[in-house]
Formats: sequence, structure tokens, C-alpha cells
Amino acid sequence: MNKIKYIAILIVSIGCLASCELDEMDGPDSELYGSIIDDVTGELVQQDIIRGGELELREHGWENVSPQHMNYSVDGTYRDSQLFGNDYDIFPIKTNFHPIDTIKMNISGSTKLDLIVTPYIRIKNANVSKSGSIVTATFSLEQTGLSNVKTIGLYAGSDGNVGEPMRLTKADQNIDAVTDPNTVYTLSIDTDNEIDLKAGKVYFFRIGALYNASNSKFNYAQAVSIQL
Amino acid sequence: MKTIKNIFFLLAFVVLVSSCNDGLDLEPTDKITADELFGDPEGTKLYLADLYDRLPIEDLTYFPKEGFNFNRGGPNNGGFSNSMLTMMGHHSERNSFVSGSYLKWWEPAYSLIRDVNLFIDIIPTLDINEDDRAAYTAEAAFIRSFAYFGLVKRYGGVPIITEPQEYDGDPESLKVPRNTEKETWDFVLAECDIAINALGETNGRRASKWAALALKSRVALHAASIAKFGGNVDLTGDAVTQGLVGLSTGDANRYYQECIDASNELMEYGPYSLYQPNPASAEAAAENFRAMFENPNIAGNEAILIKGRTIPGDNYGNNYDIWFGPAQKRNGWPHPGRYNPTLDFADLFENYSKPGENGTIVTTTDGDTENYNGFDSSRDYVHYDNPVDIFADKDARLRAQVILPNSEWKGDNMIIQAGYVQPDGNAKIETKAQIDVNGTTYYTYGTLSPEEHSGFDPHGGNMTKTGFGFKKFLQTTPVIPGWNRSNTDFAEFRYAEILLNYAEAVAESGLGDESKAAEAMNATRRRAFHQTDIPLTVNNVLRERAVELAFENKGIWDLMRRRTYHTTFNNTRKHSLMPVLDLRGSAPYKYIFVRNRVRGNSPQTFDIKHYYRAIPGVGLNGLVQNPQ
Repeated sequence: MNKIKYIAILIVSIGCLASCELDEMDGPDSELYGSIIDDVTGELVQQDIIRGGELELREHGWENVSPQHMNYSVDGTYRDSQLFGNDYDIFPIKTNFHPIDTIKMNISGSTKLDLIVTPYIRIKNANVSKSGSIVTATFSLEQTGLSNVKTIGLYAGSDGNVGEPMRLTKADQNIDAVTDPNTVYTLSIDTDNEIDLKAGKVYFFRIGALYNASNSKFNYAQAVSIQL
Repeated sequence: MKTIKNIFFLLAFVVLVSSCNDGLDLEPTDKITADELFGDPEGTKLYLADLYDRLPIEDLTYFPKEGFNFNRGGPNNGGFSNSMLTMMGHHSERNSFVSGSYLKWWEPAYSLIRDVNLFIDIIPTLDINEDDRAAYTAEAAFIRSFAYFGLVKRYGGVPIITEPQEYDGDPESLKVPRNTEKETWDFVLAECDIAINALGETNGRRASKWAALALKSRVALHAASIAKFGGNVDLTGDAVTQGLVGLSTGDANRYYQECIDASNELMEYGPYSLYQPNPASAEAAAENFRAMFENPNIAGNEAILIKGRTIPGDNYGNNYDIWFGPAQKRNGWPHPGRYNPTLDFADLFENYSKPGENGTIVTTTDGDTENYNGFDSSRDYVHYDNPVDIFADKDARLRAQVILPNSEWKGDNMIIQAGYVQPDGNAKIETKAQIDVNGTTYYTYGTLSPEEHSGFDPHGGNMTKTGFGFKKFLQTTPVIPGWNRSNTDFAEFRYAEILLNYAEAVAESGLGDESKAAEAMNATRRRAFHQTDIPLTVNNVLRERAVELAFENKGIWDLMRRRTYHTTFNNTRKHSLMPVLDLRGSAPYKYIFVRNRVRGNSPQTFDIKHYYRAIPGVGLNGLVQNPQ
């Protein structure tokens, strides 16, 4: 009787173990990376890490393919190393630059794609400095389209990812007008009045401006770190 | 040998033939057939009752994550309810906010729709008189309208399926593409019209003509708002370009007019009115209003459709009393006090002396109500003998729906205190401490034992940390310390909502009768003992709506439909009002109030993609996904 039991267990175990095989599908083996580059200055176009622009990818060869969305780093670079090698339609959505055409390309291995774009707004002569408890930003705007600039703002956060969506506090101003490149804007935050900003600690400040276009996102200057 | 063979064949033949009896063709004894069910009029009613139970009515068993009828077994979700996702309230332990896993209702919706479609198919075959047949058809339209409303407000345009699908072995034949959002809203309204035209004036707790009009009023206002304000957010994607989400601005006034017409018909010809419309005092107004939610059946003239919860227990009762009652009245239940109404909510209620504006609570002589930076000894705070006095001038509906510091509840005063200011001027707030002053011991939370106070003590997550407790819907009888023991009925449609729908539609569109709309809005204010009418403005209507319909799971949809969720919640914090005993100077010591942030509440931001829920299973059902 015991013998039969052992044999039964043996047979079941063999069945179970033999079924533990990898499936025949390959894993994602390709990556796409690159930068978003200003066509005039050649600089990276700064982005938001959350609720900012996204790169939409649609893989060829499927019906009803669900689009994949990729976020950017704040500095304007991006990378997704979990892609399947294939042909893709690629286009940026919710941009802070003028729309570009859909890019059709093959992604295989490590594939680089730089987007050469015209940002809606360039933030010029940006300067953020502290005087006493007051942090002041001065800058001017160079807009590349004919619509209004909606809002300008100075955003304070605890790390370099600071922006309108990710901040401890802000000082902002509605513009709703076409801007003159010679105008110098000034925004300031009195850190004494902000309970989220503690004296002695380092915070990051970033100047942003929002252009009035469908689904537009903020354009930024580089974040500046300041010890309070 | 041959004989044996023949006999063998004969026997085999006999066995085979005699085995053909029907002894195995049994009807299952644990199920009844459609013929049996619908052959009996009571069976038909039973089937209908089940459909009603599955309507997307956001009553006291509805939760944003778990969905409808969440009252089986131990529904241990901390009582995290819909309105905690608005500025109205905060949870004593959690800081959750709208995410992709909230507010979904897809599979149960289509299951309900399939069952009502089956019912519609079977109505013509029922052995009933023609009046009953027409009434059933109309009721089915009401249910289908309600179900599609539950879908369209969550997902935008959805596949409109009007007959029970048959599976013929080809799954492709079951796939139905999405209709546009406009087609879906228009379908919901058309189904309402079928119900309105054929339903009777009374129908117990089932849909009457008036309930269908009330539904239409709500639906049309929702659609109108999306049409008017949809342009305030930029959504992209295939669903937008194909019109599967979004309505065009040009449709706004048509929907507003539909809302005005449906509301007006109910107001002019319906048997409804406000419960206790002219109270003798603010105290009477508060008690009338409170009692109406403890038991909406006393307000039969106001409650248009009630979802009943007759029996306590699994699948029947709700858990508001155990989750939300104040800690002092927990009666042995270990997890009370979860719902914390906010200061932002309390600020909305008008002061009687200043009608027509938010009654923002001023706590200092400098009048600065934007300072949430905690106690500041250099500011001059207003002092009160009794904490509850600061609310004396407030709209009665505040104390009807909210437990105020040191107000009476079930025979005791609810002690809600955040701390004290020591005689040396240092404040101890939201920390457990005690101090002896002139021979008397004072405690930060009012008393030593957590059994004797209901505020700010982090003990068990059982105390409010906003200064306010939850009161609306709670029973005045002792809490029964167990799951699903409260059987509070819920008025899904109240006459007050219809008045405010009318007022909002008129204020937003300029259509309809403006003086009648102003009268409608002021009627709900007068029931709260306001003596001065205020003009009809969008702001006034929205304030009135927020205070009148608070905690009834309507507020979140106001933010959604008016597209103000992302502006209301943009790095936004909720706030609390902290009663603090000031031990400076000499006895008798008085209370001051500090406007402050809610402990544990980090800033919340609404992502515009959440105006529409993601459709599940698009890989299989082939539907176009909503903007992500």
C-alpha cells in the first residue's frame, strides 16, 4: 500500500515539475531612448516628470493596439528599456513644443530617437536668487507662436523634479497675453511665510511658463538649488 | 452455440430498450425556470426587486473602491467613502485620493443591463393585464436609464446594448463598439421619457413617474454641465477624436432645457414639497433636517425614491453608525470616528447675519482666515466660554449634519479639543500632555481617558482630527457593535435636489424662469431658518447645493461634471479647526480656535485623465480606451 502511495506521489511530482517550463515567447528585448532638443538653441527642452508631456507608442501588427505612454525625465531625456522589437508609430502628446509629425520607425536593440522641436516658450535670462528670506526669480520670455502665454510661475520643491505639478509652494501670475521678449518678469516667494520651507534646508526653484495651446504643458528653465 | 448467441442478443436488446426511460431527465431542484418565475406575479416582482437592488444607487453601502452594496461579511474598508475624495471630508487614518482603482462600475453594470434586457424580452409573454404590461415596460426603461447613467458618468460613451445577446459560438458577434458620449446621454434621456410617459403617480418604493422625472432632471443637468465645461480640460486620444468622450458646447442649452422642463414638471404637478419648510427656530430646523436622514420615511413629502434597508445583517445593513459615530459613543465597537468633516466644508455654511456669502470662521481679531500655520502667540485670538458658541450664527444644517466641539450627542457632550496654551504662552497642540494650573489638571485632549473624548487623540484612529464629527444619517439609538447592523433607509432622490437642479440650470443657461429658480434656491435656505432671500447666482446655488446635499454622494459628481475637480484639487490641502483651551491669565479659562492643516493630509492633485475611468479588458472587447 505504501509503495502505491509513493508511486502516486512520484507520478504527480513528475507531472508538476515537468510542466514548469518557460513559455516560448521572448521577453521585451529592445529599448528606445533619446532627447528632446530645441531646434534653435540645441539645448534640451525641460519637462515634467508627472502630469507632463508623454511619448505615445503604437506597436504595429496588432488590431486595437493599446497605446503605450512614456514619461520624460525633467531634463528632457527619456528611455524605455522594456520594449519589444518591432515597427512602431511614435508621436509626442501633451507637448510643451509645437506638434511634430508621427514618426514611423523600427525599434530593435538599443535605438536612439532625438526629437528636434520648437518649444512653445523659451525662458531667457533666468536668474533665481535669495535675499534675506525672499527668493526672487527674474526672466524674460521668448514665445515661438502667436497665441497667448497663459501663466508664469516660480515653483519650489524638495528635489530637482520640481515643477507646477510637483511642488511645495509657488508664486504665479496669470498673463493671458502675447508677451514681449523685452519684458522682464519678477516673481518672488517669501520663505518665512511658507511652513513647508524650513530654514537651513536646501530647496529647488524652477521658473515655468504655460503657452495657450491644446493640451500644452509648461516650459521650464533649469531648476536652481538654494539653501534657505 | 447459436441459441446462446441469440439469447445474448435478445438480452442485450432488452437491456438497451428498457434503459430508455426519463429517470435521469431531472429538473434541478435548487433553481427555478424562467417559466416558473414569471408565471407567478410574485415571482416577477421578486425578479424586479433584484434589479432595483443592483441599481447604481450611491447609498450608505456604496464606496468608491468597493462599489455598490458593499455589506457582506466584514466589509472592512475603514469606511473610506466617496465624499472623502472631495473637500467635504477626510478620513481619520488615510490620505487616499482619486486613482484608477476608484469609482469603477463596468461588469456589474452590463450584468444588470443584460438582466433588464431579458426582462424586457419576456414582458410581452407574461400573463398579465395590459396596464401592468405597460407599467413593467416603463419600469424596465427606468432601470435601464439609471444603469446607463451610472455608466456614462463614469466612462463617457459606452456600447448601448438593448437586447440580451445570444452566444452562438462566435465571440466576435458579441463585440459591440462604443457609442458616442452624446448618443449615450441621449439614450439615457430617451429611456427616462419612456418611463415618465407610462409610469403611475405612485409605486411604493419602486419607480413612479416622479422618480423618473427626478432621474431625468439629474441626468440632463449632468450632461449639460459636461457640454458647457468640458472645454475647460484638454483631453487627447482616439476616444476624444471619435466623440466617445466629451460633448460639444452647442449641446449645453438643450440639456439645460431638458433639466428645466423635467424639474419644472415635478415642481408644478408633483405631490412633493420640502419637509418642514418653515421651522420656528434654527434649533427646530437643525432637528428636522437631522431626523429626515435618520429616517427618510418621516419625510414622505420630500423623499421621491427611497432605497430601503429593512433588515439588519449581511447584504442588508450598512456600517455608517459603527465607522462614523464619535469615539465617546462607540459602545464597544473598536473603530469609530473615521469620518472627519473638514473646516473647508464648515466654512461654506452661511452665517444668518451675513446671508449670501460663505460663513468663513474667523478665529482672530486680525480677521486673517488664510493663515493655516498653527498657533501663533503674537496673534490675538477670539475667546469663547463654550467651544460650540463659535458656531451660534451658522446655518442650522451645519449642526444637523456635523458633530461640533462640545455639542450634545446621545445625551453627552462630545469633547473635541486639540490642545492647550500653557500659562507661559507655549502651546501644546495635537500631543498627549497634561498640566497642573492652580491645583487643577488640564489635558490636551480635554480628558485623561480616550474613552471620554472624541477629538485629535491619535488613539486607534478613533478621533476626529478636523475638529468636526460626522452626524448625518446616524441613528440616535446606541451603536450596535457589529458588521452591517444599521438599517438606515436612504433617499436617493429628494425634492430639495430637484429645486437646486432647476436653480442651477437656470443660473447657468439663462433659460427658464429666473424668479422661480431664485425661489427654489431660497426655499431650501428657508427650511434652514434663513430669513433673508439671496439672489440667484451660480455661486449661491453651488454653495446651497454643497450644504444641502452634503455626504449624499453627490458632491464628487458635481466636481466631475462641472470639470472643477482639477482646479479644486491642485496641490490642495484640507483644513481643520482646532479648539484650544487658553490657560494664560486667570480662571475661568476660555477656548480659542486655530485654523490649521489636517494632520497626515498631504497635498492632493486631481489628474484630468480621471474625469473618465479606464475601460477594462480593451484587449479582448476591442473597445477604444479612454484618455490615459
